[in-house]
Order: sequence, then structure tokens, then C-alpha cells
Amino acid sequence: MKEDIMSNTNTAIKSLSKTEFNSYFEKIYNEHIDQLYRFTLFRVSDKDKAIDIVQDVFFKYFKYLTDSLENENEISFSHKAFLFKTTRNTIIDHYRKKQTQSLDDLLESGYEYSSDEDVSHNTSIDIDYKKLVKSLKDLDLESQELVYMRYVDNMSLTEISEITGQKENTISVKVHRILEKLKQRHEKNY
Amino acid sequence: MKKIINHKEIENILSSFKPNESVNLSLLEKENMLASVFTRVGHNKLVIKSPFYTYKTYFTQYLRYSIPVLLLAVIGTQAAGVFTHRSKIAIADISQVKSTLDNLKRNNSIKSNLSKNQEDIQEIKLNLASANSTNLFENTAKNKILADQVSTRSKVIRNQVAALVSENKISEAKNIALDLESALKADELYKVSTSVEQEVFSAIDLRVTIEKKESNNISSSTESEIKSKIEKAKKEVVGYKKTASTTDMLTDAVKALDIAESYVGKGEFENAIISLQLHDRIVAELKIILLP
Repeated sequence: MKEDIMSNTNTAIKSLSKTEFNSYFEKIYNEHIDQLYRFTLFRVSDKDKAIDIVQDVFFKYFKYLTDSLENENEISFSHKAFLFKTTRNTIIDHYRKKQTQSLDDLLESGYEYSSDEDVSHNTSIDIDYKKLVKSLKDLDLESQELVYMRYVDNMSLTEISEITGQKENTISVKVHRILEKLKQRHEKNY
Repeated sequence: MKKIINHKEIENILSSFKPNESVNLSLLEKENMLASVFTRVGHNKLVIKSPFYTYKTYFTQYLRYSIPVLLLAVIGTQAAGVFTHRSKIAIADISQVKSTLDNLKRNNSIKSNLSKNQEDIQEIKLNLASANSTNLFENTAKNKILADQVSTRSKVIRNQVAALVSENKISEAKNIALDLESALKADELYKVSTSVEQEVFSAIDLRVTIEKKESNNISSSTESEIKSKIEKAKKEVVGYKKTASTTDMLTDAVKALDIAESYVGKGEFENAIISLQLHDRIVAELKIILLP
């Protein structure tokens, strides 16, 4: 592949042959597939459905790139932001069809707390993880998503801002409120 | 007892919330997903624009349309050339065939007229031989009619001979002219009609004209042609019946051939031709005399 392709300019991509363009797309795919799949699975709790959604998202992204080149539109090279935004919208479509979703489904589909002992030692407190899971379960979907992006997927506020279309400060405030809510619920359960 | 927990601790707990290994996609699953994406893309006939692609499009268009047009033009030109050539040959062939047919038709007509002339002359001879006091008037009327027919045919034959001369078929024309002249000179004709007299003069004029052309028409092949004619004539003379009225003529004919032969030996071809012409005239008269 040509060296300047990953510099992400329209001119550079336009100069690619079809095979080179496919390689370029494959590189983006490999960079984001795992993260995107986990995010989707977290939201839909169904492996096959998650695969379908992620496949659909990458197809849309490929089409977006080629259509933009064909129509000579400027391409947004925030691949991650585009992919997550598309995934969120696709998942919303999925929710419209399937209303029930819970963290119990996530646990059944493979999510678990890390058994790393260091976590317990570092927090220096005895926390019942399952109680926190129950607290998460009671949160609304947007809050669950924010928790996932911020803490499970370790996204920065900037990245979450790009994906959700909200200002970083707004997200920061929302995350703070979610933590507060979880804290209160956790304490209340004791 | 109420458990006190701060935000940092919650954040740590949430950060430890990770998918287990079974959640991750296998390499094969990832490859299959990517292949599915490319397959769907292929079904949507997506086209990637690039400078090379644009160049390829124009070039492809050029190849797609101009090369077949050029090929068609070349093939068309060749085909037209072949067609024109064949048409010319066909037209030439048709002209040749038409000409051959016309010649055959004319030759048949000449032969037919000469043959009828001989038949009429023969009939006149018979009529004269069988003439007596009872059928004299009837025979005379018949012979007059036959003589007029000969005279009329002679005009037609002269025109046909003139056509042969114009086509430079001298030898052929001369033989016919001689046959015509000899027939018209038959004594019996003069006995029954004087209408042929003018035709005899015309026939002689025609024959003389042809002979002049023949003697002036000397070429590199003349010597061999004369020799060939002499050999052929010698064989023919032997075949003619000797009668009281033909013996001298045969002697003259053979003499004319010998003279012609001697001229050929000297390289005097014009004189040789003139001698041969004399021989031909004698033989033509013989043919009429020898008619039954």
C-alpha cells in the first residue's frame, strides 16, 4: 500500500487501485472489529445479532467511503467515531424490534467481572460485584452505554463526544451523575 | 451497616468489568465477516474512482468502439475490392460468353446460307438436266426463283464476312468469301438468271479486299502458318476426284502450292501468300464443279 494512504487524505485514497483500496479498508476493519463487536454484544446480548450488526456497519462504512470518492465528497477520517455512531444507530433499530435487554443477558452471553486479585487489593474494600451489576441493570440504556464506553472500553471523553454527538462537558457531567447514582444504590443495598 | 464507597472505587470496579475470552471473535469469524462485507460490496457494484480508473475507462471505450470500426472498415474495403474484382470478371465473362454465342450464331448462319446456296444450285443443275419440252416452262420458273434466293443469301453472307474481317478473322473470312464467290460463279446460275451477276462482282471485290489484307498481314508466325496451310492443302488436293473438267484445275492447284512452297523457302512470304490464295480460289471452284 502506498505510504501516504494512512495520512488519510482524499487525494491519497483516490490514487488507490481497487485492490489497494480493499487492503486499506481491511486495515481499518482489523483495527476496530474487536472493539466494535464487544460494544455491540454488550448492547444486544446476542452473538449472532452482534455479528450481523457489525457486518452491516462495516458494509455501510465501505459504501460511505466509495460513494464519497465517487461523488468527490470530503471523507471523514475519524473511522472510529463513524463506526461507533453507525453501530449505535443500528443498535437503536435493533432495540425498536427487541425491547427487552438486561445485564443478566450480558452475563449469560459471556460478560463477567475480572477475577484479577489486584483489583480488590487496589480498591482496598470488599465489594460485591454482583450488587454493582444489579445497580447497572437498573440504569437507563444511555447510561449503560456511557459506562461501557468510558470504563469497559476505556474511551476518552473526546471519543465518546464524537460518537454520541454530545459535548465533552455534558458527557463528563452525565458520567459523574451515573457514578453517583451507582454509589447511592450500592450503599442502599447494604 | 451501610457500606461507604467513593467514585474512584466504582470506576475501578467498572474498569474491571471485561468480556471473557469466549466473547471475542475468532480469527476465522473475523475473516468470514470481512468476506461477507466484500461480497455485499461486490453485489452493489461499487466503483472506486481513481486516475487509473478514469484512464482505463476512456481507453476501454476507445478499444471497445474504434477497433471494431477499424476492423469493419478494413474488412469492408477488402470485401468491396473482392466483390468489385469478381463483378468485373463476371461482367467480362458474360461479355465473353455473349460474344462467343454471337460468333457461333453468325458462323451457323453463314454455314447454313452457304449450304442452302449449294442445295439451290444443285437443284438448278438437276432441273436443267431433266429439262424437256413438257416441263421447260415450269423448270425455268423454279430455277429463276432458286437463283434469286441464292442472290439474296449472298448479300447476307457478304455482310457477315465483312464483320469477320473487321474482327481480323481474315483466314476464316477469306474461306467463306471464296465459297460464296465460287457458288455465284457456277455456270448453271448464269443459264437461269442474270440477277446474280452483280453479286458475283461484289463477292469478287470482297475476296480481293480480304486477300490484300491477308498478304499485308505478315508477322513472325507467318512462315509457320504458310507451311502448315501448304501441308494441309496438299493432302486435300489428293482427295479431289479427277474428272475431265477438273484435271487441269487440280494440276494448277498443285502448281500453285509448289510455287508457294518455293517462295517460303526464299523468305518471300507475301508472294507465297498470293500463290496460296490462287490455290484457294481454284479449290473453291472445284468444290462447286464437283457438286453432284
